[in-house]
Amino acid sequence: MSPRPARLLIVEDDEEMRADLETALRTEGYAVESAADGRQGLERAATGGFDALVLDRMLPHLDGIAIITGLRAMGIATPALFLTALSRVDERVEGLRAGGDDYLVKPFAIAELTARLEVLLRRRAAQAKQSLLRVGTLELNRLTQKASRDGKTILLKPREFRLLEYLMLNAGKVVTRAMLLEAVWDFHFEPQTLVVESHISRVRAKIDQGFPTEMIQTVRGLGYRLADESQD
Amino acid sequence: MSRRIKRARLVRMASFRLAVLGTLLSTLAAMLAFALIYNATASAARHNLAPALTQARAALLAQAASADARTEQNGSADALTENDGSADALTENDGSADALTENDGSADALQGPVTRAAQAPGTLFYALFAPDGRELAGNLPLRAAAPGWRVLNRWAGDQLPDGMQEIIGLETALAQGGSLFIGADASALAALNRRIAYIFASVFGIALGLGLLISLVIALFSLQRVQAISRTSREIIAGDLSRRVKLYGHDDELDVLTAEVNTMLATVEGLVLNARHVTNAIAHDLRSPLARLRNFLKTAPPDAAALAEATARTEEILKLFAAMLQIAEVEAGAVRGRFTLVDLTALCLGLAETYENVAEDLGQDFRAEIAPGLALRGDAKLLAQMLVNGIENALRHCPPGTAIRFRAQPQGGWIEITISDRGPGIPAALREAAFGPFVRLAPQTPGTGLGLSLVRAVARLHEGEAALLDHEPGLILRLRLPAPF
Repeated sequence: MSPRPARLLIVEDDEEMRADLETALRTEGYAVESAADGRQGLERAATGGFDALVLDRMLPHLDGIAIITGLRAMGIATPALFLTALSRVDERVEGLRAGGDDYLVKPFAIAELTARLEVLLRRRAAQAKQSLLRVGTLELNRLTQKASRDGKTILLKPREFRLLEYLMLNAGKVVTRAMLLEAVWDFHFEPQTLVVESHISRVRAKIDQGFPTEMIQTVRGLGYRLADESQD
Repeated sequence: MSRRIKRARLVRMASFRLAVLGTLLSTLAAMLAFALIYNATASAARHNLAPALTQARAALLAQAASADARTEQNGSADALTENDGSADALTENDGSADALTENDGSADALQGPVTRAAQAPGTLFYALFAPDGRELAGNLPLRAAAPGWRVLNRWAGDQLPDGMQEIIGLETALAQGGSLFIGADASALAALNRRIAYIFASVFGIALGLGLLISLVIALFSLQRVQAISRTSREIIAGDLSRRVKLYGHDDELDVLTAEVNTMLATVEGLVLNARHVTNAIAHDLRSPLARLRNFLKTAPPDAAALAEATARTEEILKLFAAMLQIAEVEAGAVRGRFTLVDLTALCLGLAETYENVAEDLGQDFRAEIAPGLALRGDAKLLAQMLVNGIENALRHCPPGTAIRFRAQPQGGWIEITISDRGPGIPAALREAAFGPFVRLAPQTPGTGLGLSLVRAVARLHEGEAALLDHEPGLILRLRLPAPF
């Protein structure tokens, strides 16, 4: 964790939900503030200097989409995550098109929310379109789609490349299975077979085989994390 | 629930009202036409009579003038004897021409000539009126009226000579008060007008009567059909959704409407039956896991493991809900507005790559044959979910080592996607039922029972179809999507 806790603004009209979120996110180490309606939410978000926003999709006065549209129009690029009771595909598209960065369908696990927030907070930092990603001795050339660890070339299939790319972009952070399914497969549903596990094991076999340390770590019940050796 | 529904009544029916209105309008038109014809004949009659009447009047006035002159002469002889002013008498005599004009229009002077003319045999009728309106002479009992054309008619209450129906005449004012009416027999004209009126009345009468009768029949016929529709509607309102409105087979507008109403009723019935089925299924499939959860919570020890178990079970129920909502959303079809061109070949190849790995881990023999260049307008995420459901069904329901093939190729205007296996298959009788919601043919395999429902809903959303076929042995899921090119 960075020395200064990340500041979050929660805009949620359901009192119980708002209180639960505040408590849970404070427990996770965030500095949390909240607003109960859209108008208040937009004011606070525009002036508060937050690191990330958690917005309910449906709000009184101004809905989540309107807040984001307003903020982006003011040139404020605070990353935002939408919460919604609806999983409709077009809702998701609308939210992301308006300038939202991620989307989470209620009900959700707090761990899923924090994992996504961590990724959002991190994404802000210089996550440019570098053609070469590097985590420790692991390198990924995004143009040739070839990886190497300690100079040893690793050949990846298209899905494996996208999986490793996503893990490397979020190195050190927990990525959940749902996040991987969305980012790598564009699956916005839960498959009935072990799609993520199958591919993780293949990528793991390719990058970890013959090395003493496993870079892809399993976070039980939640997802995976690519260990950033240089930081550990 | 009290609903007042007005029954259709004949007098309130649009067709009947229109027919009555039409009848009234044609009657008015016929009356107007008759009035115009009557006016034209009357005008022609006046035109023809005018010279004769003017001539007769002039003759009468001339007679009156000369009679006057004679009485003046008698008087002047007296004057001559009295005044011996023959010159005066002469000048007075000279002024006889003046006297004639001066006397023109004296009712008294006209009395004699009019009486004589009236008694003489002829076709003209006379009536001379004093300035006070009294009839001084004539052969027509009449009262004075304003100068101008007058039409005397027996039916109008005028007393006319026997055998006469109508007299048309000209009443003129006299210079020294009173007026003179000279008229002619117009019975022939009246008879002509009567005949015209008679023809009009009979022709229009028959036409109007027939029109009224036909419109009454039409109105009664439509009334009957409208009542049939409303009777059916009431039966449907009462709860019998299987009722349909009878078609008459005339292909008229009511039949077209009826056919559309019936189609709508069939759709509504289908939706209601589906909703009922889903409601029953929810009652059954959602109640039982909820009941089990409650029982579990009642008996579970208050520890973390039990909490985790309860959370997992709650999540399963929520997933079921989400799946049901998604199917409802797909069936509603609103997603169509966001269709884009989908590279189906790329989508299928991606899924093939993914599931080759998954199948390998499951020990299945999974292979894909994807034709190049397949594309269609659609929703890529839903199409992916549809294909994943199909592929995973085969992977999960077949024992290890089963050959599973995933194929996509153009096939006569369709893009045909098949997922075939050599697994246990589904008995023919159950294949169609497998698409129904909450149908689980393999309860030992975890699942919501909504997978194939979604497959069919997505296929239909894209105007395609989904079917389960026999692979002898095994099963084929065949998806047909319309090929746009």
